[in-house]
Amino acid sequence: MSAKSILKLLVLTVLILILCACSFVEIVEIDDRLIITALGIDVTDEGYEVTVQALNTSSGGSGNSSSQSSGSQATQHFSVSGETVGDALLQIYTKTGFKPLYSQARILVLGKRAAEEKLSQSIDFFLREYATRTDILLAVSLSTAKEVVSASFGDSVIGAKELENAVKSGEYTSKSVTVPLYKFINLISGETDCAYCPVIGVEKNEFSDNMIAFVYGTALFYDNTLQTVINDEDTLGLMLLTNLAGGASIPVETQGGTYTLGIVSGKTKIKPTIKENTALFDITTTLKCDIVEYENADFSVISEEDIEIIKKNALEIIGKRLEQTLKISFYANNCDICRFGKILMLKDSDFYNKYISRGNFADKIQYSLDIEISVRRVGKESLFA
Amino acid sequence: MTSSGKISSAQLFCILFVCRVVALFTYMTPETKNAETVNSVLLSIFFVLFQLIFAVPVFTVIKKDNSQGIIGAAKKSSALFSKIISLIYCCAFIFAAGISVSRFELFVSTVMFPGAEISFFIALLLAASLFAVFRGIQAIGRSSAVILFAVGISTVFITLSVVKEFQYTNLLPVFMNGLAPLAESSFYSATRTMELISIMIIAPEVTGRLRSGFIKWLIAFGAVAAVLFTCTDGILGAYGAKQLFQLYSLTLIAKFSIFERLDDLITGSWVLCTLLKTAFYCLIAAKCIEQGFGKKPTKLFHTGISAAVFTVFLLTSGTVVTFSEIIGSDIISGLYIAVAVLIPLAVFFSAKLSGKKRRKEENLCQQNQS
Repeated sequence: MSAKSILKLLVLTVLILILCACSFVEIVEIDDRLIITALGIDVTDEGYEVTVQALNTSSGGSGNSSSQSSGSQATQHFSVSGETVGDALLQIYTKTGFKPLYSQARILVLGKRAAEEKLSQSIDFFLREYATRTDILLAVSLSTAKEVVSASFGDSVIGAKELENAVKSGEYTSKSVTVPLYKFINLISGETDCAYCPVIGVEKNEFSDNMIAFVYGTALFYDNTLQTVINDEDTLGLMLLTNLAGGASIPVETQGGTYTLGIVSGKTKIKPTIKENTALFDITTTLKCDIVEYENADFSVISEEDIEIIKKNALEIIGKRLEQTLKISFYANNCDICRFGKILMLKDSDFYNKYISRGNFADKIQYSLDIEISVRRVGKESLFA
Repeated sequence: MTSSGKISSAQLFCILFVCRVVALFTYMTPETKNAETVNSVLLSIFFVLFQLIFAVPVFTVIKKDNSQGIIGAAKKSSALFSKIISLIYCCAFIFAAGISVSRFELFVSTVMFPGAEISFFIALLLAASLFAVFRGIQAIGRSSAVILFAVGISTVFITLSVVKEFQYTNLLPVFMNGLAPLAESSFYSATRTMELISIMIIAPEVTGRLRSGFIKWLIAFGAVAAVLFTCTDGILGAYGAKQLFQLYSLTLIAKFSIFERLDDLITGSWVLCTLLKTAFYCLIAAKCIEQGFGKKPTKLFHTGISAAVFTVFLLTSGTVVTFSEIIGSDIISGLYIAVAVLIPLAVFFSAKLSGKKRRKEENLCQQNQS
């Protein structure tokens, strides 16, 4: 082989190595990794307690005294403490002997005390540590995060996946917001913005010894602390107002029976107008719906008149729900879920600086709600008899 | 590519686009203090305007048929002057290449493989770029088209996959802190754009129209930067401003169907961009000496340039803070103004003066003869 050929081969190898960027970084075998799937953060009197759920990669199971696991379980759990979250997470290495891998962690659960007392301190590690996922989901537990993260959902079940599925169920039900870390930090960093994330819990499955995860409402944050928790119905209102609503069902009662209105998509537009020292917001919510069920005695068809009645009743129900959400979040708890403050900042910075930036600006905001509903499809056949 | 060993102006601007795009991708938030509070579209427009202003003296020294670059123009007034200028530009491009490699090293060791020691990897990257330099400008020009295609496709793909997350409420008011931060940030970006200066050196190796090509290149880059930064601001909002590499953070949330973590797709193409950029700058540094001293650089000389680039890398990499202080200093802005504006103007006027002098002498000779 000539010198030229050797040089070409060398350059080719270099190029391949550059493309893969391999061999120059520390290689850790998968058996020596602690593949973290979920994390829970609780604030204690001594500092932080971090509960970690990790994949059980060791074939014989971990016999470590600090963990709850057995060979047949898909996941194992560890609990570590420290003065800061980063300090606590460092203890994982010393406790388990495994190097933690954060990039597979799908959900971060904050305990109630962490959400109330040390919100930004609890999530700062995940903002700065590049090995974590930018889009890791956030949720709050109204008890402790440890209870949620260490819950057993079954031997072969990855708990984090169950928790993630519970949070993401909102994409179909609009009862739970899906908030990745970057969105949460973006909202919590805003001067007037309100951040929100789902409230998650676990309870015993009535058919087995395992637990099941469920979401009940949304936690609202303002000024770096948990302000309030709104229920399922108000969560739908929040999701409609913030363009997060996916699917949802609303029972609409009429004289002819109860219809189930399935929301297919919802879009809300917010337009500000400034008059003297008050900002008026025109909130227009447009909903596309299906009628998925008509509960009456004789399987009768739905007439055009019925559709109009359904729309009228639905407008009333949804209007009340949106107003209730705004009342609880914005007017009662100063949580600006619609980002009125930010919209005003973009629209008129003088008005914003004069009235809004100091916070507690609910008295400067008025709104009008306009809801438009279009019924897209009403069953397979016999739409209008 | 042309049979005369030159590249076309389209190929040149492909190379320059790749060089600029990789700087955009690996742009670091701490470099400028005010960039995160500035409207991205206006920042891009102001950047284009500054570059157009800087381009005026640059294009005064380039002949319309591209037969003469700045060193050729300086030779007309004095051979010594052209040698000094060629040394200055050689050093400038070695420094620019070193900075480019440092930026890439910080990117890799901070976000891709945190804490990893990759100096050996950088040495290999420089070895690969040295090979590209040996192959010449035509090889670099040809590969730039392929790399640009790969980068373009991956960027469009990732942008489209995240654009649904865009919220205009994440943006900032147009003149939130007045005009000063906007002017400061765009001036900062414009005074770190070595591509404009490289045109003065590489012009004799290029066929085709440089002026119109430069304007198209500038507008295209400005548009790409405006779109990418607006997407980043509108999607990541305040979170993005807290991240070291904003555009990389954007790629982290890109998802398409079952495909997640598309960052690997784009960072792979960024490696190729850095390779090409380093090779191009090293080649330009060698061209400076070739044009100034009239000697074709040997392979050993090219290797020496790569070694100098590696030295600059070792001196400037260290930490993000060190790098940001070096690259963000006003001295760099001043040096850029010197090499992009003052030296071309000096060359232009000295060439004019010496031309007048020569004509006077010729007239005198003719009068004496008559």
